[in-house]
Amino acid sequence: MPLSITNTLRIVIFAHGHPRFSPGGGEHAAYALFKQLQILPNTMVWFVAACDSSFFSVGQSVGSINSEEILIPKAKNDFFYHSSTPLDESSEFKPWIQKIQPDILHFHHFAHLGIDLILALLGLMPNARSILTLHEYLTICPYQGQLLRRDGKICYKGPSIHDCIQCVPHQSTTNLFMRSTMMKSLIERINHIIAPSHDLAERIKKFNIVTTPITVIENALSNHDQPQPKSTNRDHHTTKSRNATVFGYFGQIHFSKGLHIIIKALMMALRDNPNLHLTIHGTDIYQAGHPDKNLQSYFNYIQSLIEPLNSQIYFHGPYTQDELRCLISNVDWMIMGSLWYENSPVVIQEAYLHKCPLIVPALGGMAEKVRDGIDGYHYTPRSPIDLSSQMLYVANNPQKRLDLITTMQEPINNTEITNSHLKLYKDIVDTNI
Amino acid sequence: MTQILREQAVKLYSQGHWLELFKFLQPFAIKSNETAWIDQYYGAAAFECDELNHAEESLRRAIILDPKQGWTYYFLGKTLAKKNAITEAELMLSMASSYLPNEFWPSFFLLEILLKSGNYIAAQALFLQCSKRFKGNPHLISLARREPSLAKLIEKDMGYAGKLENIVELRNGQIFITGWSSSPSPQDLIKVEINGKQRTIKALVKGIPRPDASQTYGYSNINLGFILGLNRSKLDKNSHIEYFWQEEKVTMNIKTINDEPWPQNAEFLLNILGINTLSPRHAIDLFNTNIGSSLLYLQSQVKGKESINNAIQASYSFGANKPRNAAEVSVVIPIYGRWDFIITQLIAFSRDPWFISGRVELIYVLDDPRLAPELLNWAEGFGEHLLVPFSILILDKNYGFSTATNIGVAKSTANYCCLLNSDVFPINAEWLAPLLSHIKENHNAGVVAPLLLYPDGSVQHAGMIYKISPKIPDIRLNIHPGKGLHWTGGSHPRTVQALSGAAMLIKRSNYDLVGGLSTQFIRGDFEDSHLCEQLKSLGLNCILMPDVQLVHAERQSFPKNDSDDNHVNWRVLANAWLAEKLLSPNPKK
Repeated sequence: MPLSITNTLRIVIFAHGHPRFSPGGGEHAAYALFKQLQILPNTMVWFVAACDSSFFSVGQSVGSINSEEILIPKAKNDFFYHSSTPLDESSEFKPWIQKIQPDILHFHHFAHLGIDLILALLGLMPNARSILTLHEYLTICPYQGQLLRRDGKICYKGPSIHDCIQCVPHQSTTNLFMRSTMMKSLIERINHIIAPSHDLAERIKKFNIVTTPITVIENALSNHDQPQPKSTNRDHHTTKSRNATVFGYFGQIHFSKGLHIIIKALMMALRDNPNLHLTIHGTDIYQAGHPDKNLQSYFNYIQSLIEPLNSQIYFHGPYTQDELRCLISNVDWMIMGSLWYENSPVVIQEAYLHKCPLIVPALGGMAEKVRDGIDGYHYTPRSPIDLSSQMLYVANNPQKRLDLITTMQEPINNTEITNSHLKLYKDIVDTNI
Repeated sequence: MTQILREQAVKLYSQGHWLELFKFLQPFAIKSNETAWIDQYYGAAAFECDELNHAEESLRRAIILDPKQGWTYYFLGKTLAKKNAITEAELMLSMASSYLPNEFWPSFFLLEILLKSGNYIAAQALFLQCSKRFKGNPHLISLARREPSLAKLIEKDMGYAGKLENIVELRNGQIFITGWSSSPSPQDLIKVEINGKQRTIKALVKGIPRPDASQTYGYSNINLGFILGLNRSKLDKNSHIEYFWQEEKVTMNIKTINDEPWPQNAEFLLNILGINTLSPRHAIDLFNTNIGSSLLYLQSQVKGKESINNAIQASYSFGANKPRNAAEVSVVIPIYGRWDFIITQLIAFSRDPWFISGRVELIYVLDDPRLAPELLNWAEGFGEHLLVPFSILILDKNYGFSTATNIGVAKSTANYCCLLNSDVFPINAEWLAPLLSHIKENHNAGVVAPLLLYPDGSVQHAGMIYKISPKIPDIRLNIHPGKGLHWTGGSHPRTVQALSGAAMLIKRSNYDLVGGLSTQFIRGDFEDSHLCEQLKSLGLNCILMPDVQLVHAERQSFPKNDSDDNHVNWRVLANAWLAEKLLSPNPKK
């Protein structure tokens, strides 16, 4: 293998977006890994991200932020993920990657990149080994990749033509079949799959019926290059002096994230204990007047829920990674409300980093990453009643928070994550599997 | 003074010197001197000069000053009609017509307004009055001809309602005239003169349902459509021809069937005949007329094999940079309507070691040159690198399934050829190998085909049978038994009556022996069963292998606007009739 020539591992990381333009969890994870690998000896690493065609001038086939960070146009078609970056003479991308001669092609996600581009790259670079990191269930679920049905129910049985067509009625059964054929080929052709949670790995094995090896490695976190001092214990917390309990929601305002469950639970809990507060963080600037009607109507719905609770709920809005530490230190408990399995939500690691216990639905990746009674508490998914009981319980027993702070796990360590990736890269290059 | 003014105005009015009258009266009209006749004359002149606002204002004033002047209402009605205030115009014209019962124009324009507003019942009542009062008035007759809802009231005197819609001529001199009429013998309404000599016209089909016409014109009978035919002999092929519809000369364009490939010509003819609404029960009657012989004529114009090479505009090969062994089987896939299926196909084929190793020669035949730029861009940018070598033949026009497939097979090199539709996708990686080993091991296997499923897993094709439906006498159709149900027939290969051309494997020498797919059908229905029959006549069998399964997204490759069911049905019926002709002992070629 080429590795033996220089002993330097040449890696290209592909992401479905650049965190600079599209600050999502997957984009951040891919970029953080790229940054970590960059500082290691004996590796050369490049970052390729898909981004909106508006970034490109007429006649420009690729863009770049610097010599290591390349931008390619987003795939056109959301259902079949047909790429907009052809590997022919019309694009600078092919000569660029041929010059790089990577040992490893590591794809974070396939959306926006294009399945045909990934498969064509595997053909173009027969000596490179390939890895695909999955970020949700898009290989299984053609609707929103969350195994959350259009009617709001969890898709327990998994995909089938007869079920899926109900979620995507504007598609045809042929399109569904074609999509699943392409997914099957993609998963088969990739040398190795990374799942950031066991939950995701198990479901992919079960529903995609893959023989491709899957390794569970957590996503790297951005802004975590330096370990945080452990003395962030918040015994001196100001809210304690007010005898109030503050819950914090950190995440996008989207139906699948279940903020409405949390607000309804708070309403119920307030009847028994008026000293409860909720701060909401994480809506983004696009959501006011968002072109997506569903999102906008959900946003309006949340506003109508919040309005009568003005004194109990503070709507903070968007935040940056730099502000996060400060914001988390202002809350006693982090609450999640997701209606779907999730995978490995970044906010859970953020909570560990800042020693903030969590209250999460007993579901999928959240239940896996947050151990009940050790890292936080579980509640019955989608049940405002159970969540309100949980809220009252922790408010009435403030010692529980301090207990959990002593038992909760350490946050994932970027160095370890990077080393796990590197080991996997070396393994698949060496063993040629 | 007023007297002189009025005399001059009446003079100009009666001579129809509207602009002069308009200018003449303008200084007086503007002052609003409360003289009704000035407003009336000025308003009429303003209307004729297209000064509608002036006209409306003056005429309204005139009516207030002198409400019993019928002509004032008449001009105001016409002004309002021109301003598209139909309801009020109707009111004004009906006032005019009641003040001036013996004047033709007020009633006539009221009639026009009623028709324009869709008030057919009132229009018919008025028309009956008018036809008594103004019998023989040419304007009334002309209006009745234009407006079939009126004509039927007195059609014995004035002609029948109806419309001549299409005239189409074939190169052999056969002419079809289509349209609809309330007359039981529409052939009598049309006159055709060739070099001044009148020709006899035959009614080929009458009573084609035309709900559109009957609804628009208020008939209870919907069977109004007709197809008439005549044939100009070879002698008068280039002679001057004139058509008259109810005594009026026809000025519409005569359509001709041109040099398109036969399937397009046949579809064009079926389409223009307007038989969509005709029940398939009449299929045999219809094809036994000159319509059938015209189809056979068009079919006989199918070009011979020598032109096949000319049909290939360009050919490209992709992913063929690796050295390859001679292919064992060629897969030929025509593309029409949608090209993007090949992305999924190639991605699926890239799971199959046979395709990757070059044991399969994959040939796409683009039978839809409009798609060439997009298809080639994708093939160069992505397809090239998908591990599966393939080639694309671009045809210079759309020839139809059979010709496209035959061209692909002619260009293929393997001893076996697999015909495949572009919307057929493998479920499992290896599907061709078992078909091939079966046909190799069984010498009497003429055609071997997989079980084809719908995307939902139910049967799309498990062999075909021929069946005469009691609803469509004398025409055998290809039926797919068990379509839509789940397969329960086990996995053993079985002999069936015929197999679908959507996916079939044939020995190349046998394919050539029977001349490939017949190009004598109108795209995509009976070519496959005809091929099966020909192979069976050589003592070979049609074998279904149920354990090899592919998905067929049937008809998905046809663009949506082509899938008008009735149109497809008549194409199928025409093909079924052609199939009978081809299989009859003395086939007409």
